[in-house]
Amino acid sequence: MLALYIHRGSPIHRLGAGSKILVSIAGSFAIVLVKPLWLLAGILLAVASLYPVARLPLRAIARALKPVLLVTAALSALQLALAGPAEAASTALRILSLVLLTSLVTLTTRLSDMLDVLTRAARPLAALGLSPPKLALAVGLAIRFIPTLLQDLQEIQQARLARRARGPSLFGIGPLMVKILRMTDALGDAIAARGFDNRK
Amino acid sequence: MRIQDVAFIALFAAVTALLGLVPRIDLAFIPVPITAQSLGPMLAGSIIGARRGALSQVLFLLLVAAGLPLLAGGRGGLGVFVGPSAGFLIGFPFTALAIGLLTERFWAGLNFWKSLAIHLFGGIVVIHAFGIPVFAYVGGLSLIDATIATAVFAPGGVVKSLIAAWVTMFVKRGYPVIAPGASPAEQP
Repeated sequence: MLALYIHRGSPIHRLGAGSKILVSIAGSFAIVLVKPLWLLAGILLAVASLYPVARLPLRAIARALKPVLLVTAALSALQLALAGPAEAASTALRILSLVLLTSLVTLTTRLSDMLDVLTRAARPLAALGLSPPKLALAVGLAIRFIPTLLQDLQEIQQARLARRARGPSLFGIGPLMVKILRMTDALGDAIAARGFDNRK
Repeated sequence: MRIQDVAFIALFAAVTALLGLVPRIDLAFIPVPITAQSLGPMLAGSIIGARRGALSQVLFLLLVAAGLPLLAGGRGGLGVFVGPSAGFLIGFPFTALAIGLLTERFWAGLNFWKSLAIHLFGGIVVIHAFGIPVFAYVGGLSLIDATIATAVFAPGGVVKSLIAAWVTMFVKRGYPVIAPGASPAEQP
């Protein structure tokens, strides 16, 4: 599986993951609170100019914005009809700069560094029973489960095909669930048997 | 929390990720394509229950935030948490929590129709309760306009609720996790 990270040796890449996240959060608040149109346009340009600084290809900007382009266009069109061109422009500028700024953090920070910071930030989950060692285990298991599940799904679909099961392939979800729940139960036993300390 | 619980949490984070890979369904009578992803929090709540289900969705969001492209269409990273549809993502753990609590509450006499009602509530009402305000705020719309704009997702929610209720009953008969005491596998 590919992470979204793009490896380059830029100063932005070298910044710590935690500080980049904090700066992007502060920047996001600023973008949401800023009202004048010229300032919003300036912010968008400034954020976009960070991409060459990070030695990311211009294509990265396009790719970061692609997922929100359609909904931004729809929202701007709606604003244009409801509130006029100024509102429409500021809505579009705001969404594009927010997404561009936060995407920059994702594109310039290694997945492992990001996971480090986020799992540390998620320490309060211990109150719900997911202590840091268990969260770390869960992260690893979840990433490993994705290809396993894909394989299980293919097996079930092939079994359905082999016996010419009627009905949409969607009906494979039921057996798939039972199969993976059973597998997960057994996996839990296996991990416990290998000495994972449950009291942590 | 047992190791099994940790494994179930990881499992449903992965299930939600996997549902993002399902090709989106384009229905002629709905202008918005249905992605299967929000089926993840629904199933998490009704199959592994409120607490584990909600935690599984927190884990899923954590993996997305870290930069894994697990959202439908290969999206991911921090950018998705500031876009107009961020509220729907934030609603994932709460959807699982609500569906989990209700499913646990009505577990003993649960049938397809009750489960369907629970999923309709969690998968449409709860997720929109988080999705609409953020959509309205980021898009500069009034809450009413935002509600109308996001109503296009409701038919997809009905389809997903039907699927989720069917799967819930299938799993309740076949391998229940919420109340394993009732499982045929556990009985002598």
